[in-house]
Amino acid sequence: MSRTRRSNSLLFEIGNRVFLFLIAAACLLPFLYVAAASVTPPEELLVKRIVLIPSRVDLAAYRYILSTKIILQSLGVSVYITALGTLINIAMTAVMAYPLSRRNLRGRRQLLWMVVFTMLFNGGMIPTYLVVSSLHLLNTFWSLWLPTAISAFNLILMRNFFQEIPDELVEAVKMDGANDWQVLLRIILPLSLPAVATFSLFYAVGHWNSFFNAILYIRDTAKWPIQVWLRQIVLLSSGGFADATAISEAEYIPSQNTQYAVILFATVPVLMIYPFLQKYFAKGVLVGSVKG
Amino acid sequence: MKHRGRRLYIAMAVLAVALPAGGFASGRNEAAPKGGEAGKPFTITMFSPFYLQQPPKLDDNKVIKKIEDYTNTKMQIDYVPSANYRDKLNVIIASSQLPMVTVVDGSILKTGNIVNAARAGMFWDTGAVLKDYPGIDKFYNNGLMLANCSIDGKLYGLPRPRPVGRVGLVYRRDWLKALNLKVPATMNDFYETAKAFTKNDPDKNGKNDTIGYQFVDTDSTSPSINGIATLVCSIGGLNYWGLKDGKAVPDFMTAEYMEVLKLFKRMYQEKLLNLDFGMALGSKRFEMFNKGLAGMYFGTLSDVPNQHGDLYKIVPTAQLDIAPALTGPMGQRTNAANPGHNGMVMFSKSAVKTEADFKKVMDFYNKIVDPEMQKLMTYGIEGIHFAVENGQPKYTNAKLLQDETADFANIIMLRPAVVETSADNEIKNIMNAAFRDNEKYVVPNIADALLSPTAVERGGEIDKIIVDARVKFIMDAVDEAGFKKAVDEWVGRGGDKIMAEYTDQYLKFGKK
Repeated sequence: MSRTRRSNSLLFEIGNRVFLFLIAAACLLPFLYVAAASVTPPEELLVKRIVLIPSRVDLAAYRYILSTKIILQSLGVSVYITALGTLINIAMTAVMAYPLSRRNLRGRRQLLWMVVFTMLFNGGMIPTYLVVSSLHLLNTFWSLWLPTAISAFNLILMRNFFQEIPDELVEAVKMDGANDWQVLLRIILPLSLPAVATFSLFYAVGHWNSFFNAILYIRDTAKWPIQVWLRQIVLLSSGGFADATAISEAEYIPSQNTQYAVILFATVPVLMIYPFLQKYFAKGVLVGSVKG
Repeated sequence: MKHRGRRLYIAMAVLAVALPAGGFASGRNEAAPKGGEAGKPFTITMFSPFYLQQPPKLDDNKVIKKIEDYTNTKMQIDYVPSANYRDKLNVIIASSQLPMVTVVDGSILKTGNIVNAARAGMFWDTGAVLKDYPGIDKFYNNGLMLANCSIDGKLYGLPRPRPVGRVGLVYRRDWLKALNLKVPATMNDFYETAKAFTKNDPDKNGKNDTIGYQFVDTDSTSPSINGIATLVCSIGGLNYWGLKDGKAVPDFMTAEYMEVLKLFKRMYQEKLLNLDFGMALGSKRFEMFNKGLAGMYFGTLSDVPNQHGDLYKIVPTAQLDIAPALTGPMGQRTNAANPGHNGMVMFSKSAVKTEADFKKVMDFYNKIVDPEMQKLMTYGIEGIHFAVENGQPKYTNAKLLQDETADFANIIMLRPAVVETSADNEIKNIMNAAFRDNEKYVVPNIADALLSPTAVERGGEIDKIIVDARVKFIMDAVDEAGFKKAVDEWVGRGGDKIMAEYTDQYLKFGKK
């Protein structure tokens, strides 16, 4: 009896591992494919359907992307926009989520309702542009940070997370003489690290991927984030959207593997953030903080 | 409790004000355009899309420097990626921040925003003063193009000329030779060639793996690449919109159109074309051809020199050629693929404030069309971009020239429709010869010169009905009656209005 149970559980173990391995492979393979395709000679890519190990390594795509120094420069811009932007996002969101999470705030419902309203309705592209323009934010990074400083959706989620922190805890701290700022900075935020890490990630990915606002609000091409240029390369390499007449002899359409190189370029920096944030996804910090 | 709540509000308000303060200072560095006094360079602000990897660098650009010296101006150009150009242009119009010179490309020239802005007097009327600028006037000797650019019969900018006969039949010359065929000259020849390319193993690999004609028919916005218009014109039909009994009618209501669809249906049944033509994506449209599996396609001739790098890698012996305009009952005819222009550069009255400044801008363009400037933009600077060999200019650093002038010369400046280059590139010469030849045989699209608000608003949407029915008809999913039903649906959902508006406009402006 116990032997069959053991062999049953062994069977389950094996089955389970195979299953999990397949899932992992399903996640990893597309990425490997993109990585391999980015160094595959374009003509091989054209003939074969799927390439995991290229016949020879062809770095032309990377050479093309890096042929202008604008890519590296805009990579710096992107990192700057993302880092500072995320900081502003988290600061603004937390500062608003905290009062909204406390039951003793007057007009809480009305405020919340106003927040939800912006989730359903927005002014649209042109009115928003006019606001940004009349605040003299055009051509500054603030035009990227301020209009998107608080995402209503993230705000509500963060408020819900803060609400889970018992009022008794806050009251106990206040009894010890802490003001609201100290409560927020010393108690609420440290207890909400998993939430803060999650929203940092949301916001950071949002900043990293956005390009349209930069095109809209920023005239100076040196201040554009890398996504603008990468997108341009992808459009160009997917074939002919150039102006009606060919311009010069050397008209160059980047080859297909350029697209894959671009994808790698655009995703790897964000991927590198994950391991650093992972340790904050610990749970149960709050367990046992309030008794009876 | 209450007290604490209020304090938080104040804290939030303070933070909200304090944070952006750092941004204000740097927000005001927009240089105001200034008209120079006599002798001083005149600053021209410009707004333009760019199509390549990046816009040309503006500082330390020797070509631009030469142009500026020659015209005594200082150019200040704002670039936006072409894919987002329209959005940005719309917000700039809405916020009245137009620079002096704005590129309005062909796809947006006749849209509501631009038409309304022009009617509201936001742009200078250049048509009235064209005669005062002999260089430009001589440069634009194409009356059809000028008419096609006008809004309500008036010209609100300087058109950017493009070849009219820009589409044609591209074929594999090596296959044609291998099978001892002659160059297709009629619609029937086209069919026979496709058949031979499919059945007779033109690549001599012993396998039946080729198709005669690579067909793409998905996108109603770029119909000129599916060959239908070219074939319809060749047998005497209309180019999209034409006149029948004094009324504007679309091609798909004519018998010639049906005849071409029937030919495609037959080719579909005999498998002479790719069966996935209704699905093939725009960007994959050269895939079969570039793999060396297809023998012909109808397309934009400008693609021929630069879209087939992959083909030469896979089939190094491949040779391409362009067939002359096809012949039919009315002689050689082909469709005008575009109205002979790709929009205009337009001058806003809010940035070009005075008549004197407007004259300076026009003077700039009057100098740009000088042969010296045209040569500079085509070849660059001798010793840097090209060298003279046997009296012919030859590129020595074409890549640098592209980095410095592409997305600039053709877009904001004025270039002739067919830009002649040096004679050492065979396929380019074939292309330019085809541009010149086709021009003699083009059938214009009367709608190019006309405005229909309904077409702008709903045209794209209801044209999908036709594209859909067309694909189904070729794939034998509906019969001729089914196609007629789709045409009736098109009429019912606004097509009748479009026809009425075009007819009305034609009677007003089109006859000039």
